[in-house]
Amino acid sequence: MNDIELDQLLNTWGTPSVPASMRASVRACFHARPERKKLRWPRRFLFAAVVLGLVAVTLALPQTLSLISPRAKPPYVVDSEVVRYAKDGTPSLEVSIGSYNNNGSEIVLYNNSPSLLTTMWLDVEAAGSIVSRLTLPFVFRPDQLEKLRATAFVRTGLENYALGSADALLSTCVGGRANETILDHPTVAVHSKLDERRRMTLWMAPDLGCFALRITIVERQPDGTLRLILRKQATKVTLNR
Amino acid sequence: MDLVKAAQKGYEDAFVQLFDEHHLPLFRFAYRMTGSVADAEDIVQECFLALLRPECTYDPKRTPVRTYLFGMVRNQSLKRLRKSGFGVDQTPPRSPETEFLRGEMENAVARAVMELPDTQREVLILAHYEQMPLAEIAPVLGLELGAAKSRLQRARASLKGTLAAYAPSLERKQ
Repeated sequence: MNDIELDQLLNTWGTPSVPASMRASVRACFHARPERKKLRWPRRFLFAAVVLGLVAVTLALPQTLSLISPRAKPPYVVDSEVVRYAKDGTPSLEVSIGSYNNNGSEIVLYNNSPSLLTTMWLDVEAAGSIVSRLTLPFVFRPDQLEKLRATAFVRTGLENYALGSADALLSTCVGGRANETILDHPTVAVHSKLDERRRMTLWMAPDLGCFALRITIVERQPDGTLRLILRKQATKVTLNR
Repeated sequence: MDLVKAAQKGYEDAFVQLFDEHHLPLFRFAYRMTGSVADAEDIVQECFLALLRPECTYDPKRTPVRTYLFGMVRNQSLKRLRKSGFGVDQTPPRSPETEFLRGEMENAVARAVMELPDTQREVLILAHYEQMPLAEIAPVLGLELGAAKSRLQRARASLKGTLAAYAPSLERKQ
């Protein structure tokens, strides 16, 4: 058999005609197909907000986990209360904080405030702080990063203060003479000038990595007197041994 | 605008045009691969609808739509053949009416083609019945040109042997 004969033989096999219903059926399926859902702008915004929220929670989770996991536990946790004083001297609890000190910088593990807005703000700020820590290497030069890491920070409620060189602060604390005992921990008082009008005093406990068990901020008034504007006081020290 | 993209965006006219342009050869191919009108209808319909799905990977810059559709029909046909257990050494089930309507020769050719291994049958159907050049068949089947060519040669050689008895009757018919 040659190729032409084979082709002729193969051509005898025909196909039935396409069922008449097929076209209508396909068209019906076209109409019945699920629509592609397009997110409108507000929904997209909401979606992005939810994702950001989840990221924030996820990032904040290690802080909570650090309390649960024995390996991740800090050596101690200090519960403190931050009280702000109005101009007439009326105190108001701003926030309660659970924190510890790491190389001269205070790490906040949890916080609670009578004001929901303040609590939410602190949560967002805590998540933002972690994000910024992760992104710092991409923003700063190595020498700038080193300088930042060598700086001491303390937390007073809604504010975060940089107190200069962590090494200098720690050596002042360790080498200083204890003048007050707070919650059974001897402390060394260290003064720091925040600006022309405000001065901060920290009672740092050498045996707690120089954690400040008390912080006060006073502000010089126009008449020359000093007014207490904020006080952070440790209420409980939990040692994780 | 590309017809597929327009159809995906919900333009019915584009979808219908796409269907009208391609469904006949696809149906023939599916029928000859499976031996079943119902299966061929399902396969062709499914392939057109697959184009509309969000997960559809069709890229007009990489593949002509005809090649893409033939590829889908081929994959669907083989999937059905494997699922039904119908394959190389079986012939498609035929109704008595079909048997009656088909001439003996046509039956023999259909049986011979269906008995070819899948890899040879698909090349032969595309090359002979759809008159598709080997350069187009190769991407449909995911083969090198040489491999497609050799499979076609083997298929034809095999059919020459299987259908040898019908060559004289072909002459008589002429």
